[in-house]
Amino acid sequence: MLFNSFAYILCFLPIVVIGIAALKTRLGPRAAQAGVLLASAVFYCWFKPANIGYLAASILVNWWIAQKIERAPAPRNKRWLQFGLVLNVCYLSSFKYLNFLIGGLPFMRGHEHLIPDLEFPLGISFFTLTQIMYLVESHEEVIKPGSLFDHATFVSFFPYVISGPMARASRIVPQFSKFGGRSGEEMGRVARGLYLFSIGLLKKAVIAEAFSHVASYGFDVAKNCSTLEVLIFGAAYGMQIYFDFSGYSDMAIGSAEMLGIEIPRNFDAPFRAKSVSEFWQRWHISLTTFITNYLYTPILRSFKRPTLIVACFSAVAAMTIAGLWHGPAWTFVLWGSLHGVALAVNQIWRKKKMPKLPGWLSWMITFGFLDVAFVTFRANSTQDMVGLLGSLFDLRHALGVANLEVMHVTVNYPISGLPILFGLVAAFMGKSSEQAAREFRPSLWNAPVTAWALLISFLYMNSQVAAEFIYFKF
Amino acid sequence: MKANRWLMFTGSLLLVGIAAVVTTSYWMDLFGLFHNPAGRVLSVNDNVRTSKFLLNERYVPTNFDGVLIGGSSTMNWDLTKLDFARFYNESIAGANVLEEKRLVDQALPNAHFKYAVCLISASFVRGHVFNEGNGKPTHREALGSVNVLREELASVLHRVRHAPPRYYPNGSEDIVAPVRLNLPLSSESFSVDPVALEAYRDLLNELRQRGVKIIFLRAPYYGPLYNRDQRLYDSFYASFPLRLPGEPMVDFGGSKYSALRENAENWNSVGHLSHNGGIQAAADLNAEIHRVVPGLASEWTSASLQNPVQNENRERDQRSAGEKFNRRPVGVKDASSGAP
Repeated sequence: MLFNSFAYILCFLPIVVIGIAALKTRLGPRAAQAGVLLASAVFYCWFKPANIGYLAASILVNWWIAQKIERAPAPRNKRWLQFGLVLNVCYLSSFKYLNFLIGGLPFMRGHEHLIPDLEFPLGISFFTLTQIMYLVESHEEVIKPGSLFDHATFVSFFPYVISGPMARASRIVPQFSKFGGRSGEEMGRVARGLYLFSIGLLKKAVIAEAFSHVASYGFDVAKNCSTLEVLIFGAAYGMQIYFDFSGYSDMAIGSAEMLGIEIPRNFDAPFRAKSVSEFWQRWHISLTTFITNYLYTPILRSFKRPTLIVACFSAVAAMTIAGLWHGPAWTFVLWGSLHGVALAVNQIWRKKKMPKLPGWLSWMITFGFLDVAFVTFRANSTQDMVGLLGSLFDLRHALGVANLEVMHVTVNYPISGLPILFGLVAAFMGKSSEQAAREFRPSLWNAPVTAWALLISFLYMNSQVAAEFIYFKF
Repeated sequence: MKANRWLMFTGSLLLVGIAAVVTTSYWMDLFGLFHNPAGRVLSVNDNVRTSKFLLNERYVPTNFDGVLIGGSSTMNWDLTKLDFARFYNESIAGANVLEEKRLVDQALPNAHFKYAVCLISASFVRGHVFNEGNGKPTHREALGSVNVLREELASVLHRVRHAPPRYYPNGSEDIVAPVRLNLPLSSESFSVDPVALEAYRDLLNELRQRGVKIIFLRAPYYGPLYNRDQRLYDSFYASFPLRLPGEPMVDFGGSKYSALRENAENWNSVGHLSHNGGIQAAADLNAEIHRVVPGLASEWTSASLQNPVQNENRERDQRSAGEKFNRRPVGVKDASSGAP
């Protein structure tokens, strides 16, 4: 079930919100939690019922390991943690990277049929990282591993199980008693959740879809692009993925808020960043936190002396792994490495106390870099990526617009034009949705805004088949 | 404002908005989906792809006997010049055969088409990517969607301004782009996409199975381009594999039509006829079909005579609607009477 489907918005979510509130009133908070667990199972099974087994296995095994970590004495509990980490990485890799790694070996050429082609379970990249954070928190005694019921509710919670935001157990589990509250304050949360959900839906159903048509045209149809065209199509894809994923995150946070649970924010106006490191503090924040805590810091600590060179190496290594996490393709690896190098340059610039650039120049350099990186991320294949990068730096046709001139055949300007304009203004100048939700107070003016956002989104949703979120495939 | 009241107020506003959109769409019924489409005069207002898809569900099968399946090169042909049947022009700018097949597939279950004029063109079978707006809209979409709102707005604007519509009730449309014959003549790509070719084969087989008479059409190209690359064009048409023996083809590549091709007045761009060119070409098409399909008129007449019910229906339809489809909008001159 997609967040941007009528089935979710008009049936599933209202039934769950009202049902959980009723369960809490009549039978208490544990019944409400059981209702949430059941709803999460239904939500997850909606896509591919068979996949529930993979999620259930991950929940069971990680809960069992967490119990072992808690009970084992000091040196042995670390071994349980290491075992758990290796197991989770292998679990993820077996679905995601087996073909990529083994299939790439020279002696496997022509024998690819021998490699098992396992179906990719939905959300495995996200719930596996959540499990890793859970095991580390158990080992560090940040949380006390609770019951299997609590753990299953935490991992499978439907607003974030498929595409995040990735949440820590220490932040979510203590909130379980709040499921379905009915006090005045809780109704305020439902209102704020609906407000945030409407913003997210507008971002996804209207703005991201509009940018997707330009990006699809640029990367799938256009031929012999000029430098200008590659930059425009790269930026269009950057906007598409931002509105798609931040819209998804807003809907996830809004849905959870309606149930009384606060989950971490994921985006904070990233395209206003004036450096790549600031960008990563604003873009996919839950992943950035994971990379910093569980990749960058351990790599840095594995060296005896954390010098600047070591820090730079750690940044490149961590970001390359983060790139690979998106999928088994060299395009993602290069995208991650580019970001790693940019972060390293950023660190050197700061530590060596190089001259501070004017704000507008920093922003332009940062956005230019992000644009080029998005081109590598979106390219359909390594070959395409090389071609696009070649076009990008081929200054003989720097300002050509031949592809843009005929784009109207594919891109419907009257339908996509206004959302694109609105999206550009929102991305570069608007508040982040998180800020808007924080400042939200029920009033006469934001009720029509919410109703309008929902109505416009419904009209767009009803104009085409609901498209999946980009991050579902990672 | 209390949260409870805010939620009630927001919900009410949303419901009022949805009700307004649905009621307007049902009342205007721009695609003939909710009321009986027989005899109604409906045309595209703005979004060709979505509109034609929805019009093909009830309006086209109820009101037309034949279809022209083509691309931008045939989209402005004046099909009222075809005197042996009422034709609907399915052609869309930039369409490939998959997009056209989707339209015709929509109409076929309810249609009683007798004729299909099918374009053979390199650009028609070069790819299979669907252009925006040519998804599979549903009845639900027709009750309220961005595409429908856009159509409704365009329809209201046309009425308010009394402007001659660009689109006609028989699916043809005027090209509004400026004349561009001075562009460098780049040779057309003659590569054939296997997916597109397969779709064309399926479409033709569907039509044949339903007893629809297929007439292939080789559209004209602007003289200077055509003369330079004629051998390439000839070999493409000669090797086109989907035409069965005995199926007629109207060939605008022959010397008979060199005047049409060479006269710059007839052209909007190297592959697209002007308004007058579209009228001229359709008149020539009608004459040529009569020549290559002998006994065409008598076939229709005899069929009508043999089937009194059909004949009666046809007469009733013609009385109520037939003339409307052949009516050119006010302000658009018929070149056959006024052309030099």
